[in-house]
Amino acid sequence: MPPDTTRAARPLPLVEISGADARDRGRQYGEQTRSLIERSLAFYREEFERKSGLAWPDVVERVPRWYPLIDEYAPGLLDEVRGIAEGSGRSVEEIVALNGRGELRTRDPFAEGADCTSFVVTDEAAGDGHVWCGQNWDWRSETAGTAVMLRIRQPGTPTIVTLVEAGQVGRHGANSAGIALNANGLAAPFQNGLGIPAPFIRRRTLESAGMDQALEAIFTARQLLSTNVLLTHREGFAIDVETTPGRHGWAYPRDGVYAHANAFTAFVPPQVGASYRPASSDSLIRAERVERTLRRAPETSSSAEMHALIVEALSDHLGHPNSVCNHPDPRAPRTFETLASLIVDLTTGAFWVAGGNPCTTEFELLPWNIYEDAGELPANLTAAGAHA
Amino acid sequence: MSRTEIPLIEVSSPDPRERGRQYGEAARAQIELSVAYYREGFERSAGLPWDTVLGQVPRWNPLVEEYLPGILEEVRGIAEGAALRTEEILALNGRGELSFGDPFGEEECSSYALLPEATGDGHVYCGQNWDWRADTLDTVVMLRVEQPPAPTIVMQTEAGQVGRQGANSAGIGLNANGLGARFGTGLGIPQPYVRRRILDSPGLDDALHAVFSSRQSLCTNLLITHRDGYAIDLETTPARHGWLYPERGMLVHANHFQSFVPEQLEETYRPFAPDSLYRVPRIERVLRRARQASTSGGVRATIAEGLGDHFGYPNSVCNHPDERAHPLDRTITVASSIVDLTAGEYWMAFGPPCENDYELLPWRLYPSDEASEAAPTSVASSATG
Repeated sequence: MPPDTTRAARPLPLVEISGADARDRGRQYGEQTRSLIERSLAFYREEFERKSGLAWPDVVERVPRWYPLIDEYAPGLLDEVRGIAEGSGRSVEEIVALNGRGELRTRDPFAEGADCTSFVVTDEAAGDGHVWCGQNWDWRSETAGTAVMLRIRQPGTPTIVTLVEAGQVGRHGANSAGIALNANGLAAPFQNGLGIPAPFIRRRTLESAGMDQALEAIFTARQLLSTNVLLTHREGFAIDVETTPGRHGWAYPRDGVYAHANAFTAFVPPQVGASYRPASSDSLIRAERVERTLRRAPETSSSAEMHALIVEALSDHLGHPNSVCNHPDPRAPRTFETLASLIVDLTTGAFWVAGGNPCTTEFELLPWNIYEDAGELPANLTAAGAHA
Repeated sequence: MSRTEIPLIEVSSPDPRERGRQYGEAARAQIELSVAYYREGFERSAGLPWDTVLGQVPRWNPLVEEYLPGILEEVRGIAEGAALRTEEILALNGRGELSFGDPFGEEECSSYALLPEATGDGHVYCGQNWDWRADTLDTVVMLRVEQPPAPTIVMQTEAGQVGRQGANSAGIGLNANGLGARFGTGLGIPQPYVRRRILDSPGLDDALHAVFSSRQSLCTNLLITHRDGYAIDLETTPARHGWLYPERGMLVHANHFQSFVPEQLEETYRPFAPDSLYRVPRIERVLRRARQASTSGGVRATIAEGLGDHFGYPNSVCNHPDERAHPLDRTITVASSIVDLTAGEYWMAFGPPCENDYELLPWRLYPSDEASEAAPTSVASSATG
């Protein structure tokens, strides 16, 4: 599709938190996002009841069962959550519920798919020799306006830039160690019981100084939901991991390009092997379409051209409105749309965000380069960089 | 950095007991160290007193004797030579199988094979980084076993073990990697015997037969390479085995199932070492360039670069101790090998290859009067080109 010169700016709020003290970081976060958290809670209160039949008092009563799991998996992170609660004037349980919104919506047999399309183009394919990744984040129209770009600076830990719904501790983003995480729902819950809510898994992954820690975070997590996690490293390594409560599957870029939507493609978990069908059939269009466009990456000759090619891929309208660039479907009782689109140049650290459909929204360069704090990188990572 | 001193041990005799005695005498100090290490390890991690271990190990004897006749004589000889109990040598050879409950974790290794179409000099190469407990570095030995009429073997092993990773005078190379998973019940033949039988093989048929006729209790990856330009990777389990072949002349394998996931694990399988998922593509990325090297030295330099990769440090291809782990659980690349199966040259770096040079062992795989015949006819033209 031809470049659209009429794209409008729709910036997301920028929230910065910093410090060694988790509780204090949380307070900073909660204070800055108080009204968004309130809005988000109003939506999910109703949503949980509708999807899982859990009345709000039940949700609030039960979420503490997650605490031991979360504490063991990501020590200290619950303190940040407590801080968010304090800063926003809400209860801790409410903030945990916002982080567990995926898990709290799982029991509906009529579940709609959560649609997202992620991509990576490594230096092997990109005409400018850079490593690029990003995604469209498609979610319920009602949650528009609750997302923020969050920068988390913690001494001794890589600095994180992540797109979150206000109150969440991590979602899609990149860190100053050159690791990016993009994620897509895979639906297909096939296990009951307690599992670590996804934002905690993603946050721990984004706190990784190296790919060893990032994979460790993904492969040791005991979770309830199946989620696709695309990990990219600035040295040109990328792996897509289809995570489930049991076995994980994985795949690598082919000739430096990879796209993933909301269907299992690396494997089908045996637990759903006899009956698996993707929750969103348009997923089968979206991943293919994005890859097809990005296959032209070697023909680009500059970073600007690479960026434009990615915008083109993310703006694709085949299968509209359930296309890569996702628009509300007037036939659906509850609508989804692309609420944000992310493009990260992991080589330079530039991070662009569009706060709405990429076909009509301008990608704005964040004022934060992800490597601004790279001075905090451990020496061994700097040494590893010499092998790039 | 100074080179780690690794003993080169030669044993030679048609009589297994005598070979064992020579081995035990020459490696006595290292075997004693190894016994001390595993003795403590079993106690600490599994709560298994050494006496209990020694009481159990003879139960393997009938299985081993049937699978590889004569090898127990060699084990007895090692015990005699090292002045230790036979059971202690049996325990060293069964240390992987004894560690059910996973007291020692697994060896994290990265192996590779390169066939003539992937190398600029047209040679066949194989080798690996052998990553194991930092504390066992002093127990590693290089062993040359001359055992007429069976092929002569050159291998790296922990002192007292009868087989691990190596190559033989019939042009067969063997590399191995832990796969972590355990299922199945009952006694299985410990890995060192399986690997020794592969390395005893005069032909590939015997080597594959050794793999497919073994009853084992754990999962291990075995990469078998032949100087005639053939390689196969075998993901072995107590039940079904999976396998794969080189693509475009290159095969790299680390510590996760790549050819299949055993049915016994299919609902829950996750690699025990997730860093394995990047070690494979990182090595491949470098080895792809071996085609452009114009000399054997150039090919070796490319391989060395691949094996020295630090992506994901310290849990990288070139493995270094992770300060976050318990001291007894820290691993390191204890040895790194580049075997030129065409020229019969065996190159070793002892310790992480980023700081240790590869040195040519004084042993040629093939007798020198055969040197001109060593290059098989199928690759002779490219080898001389």
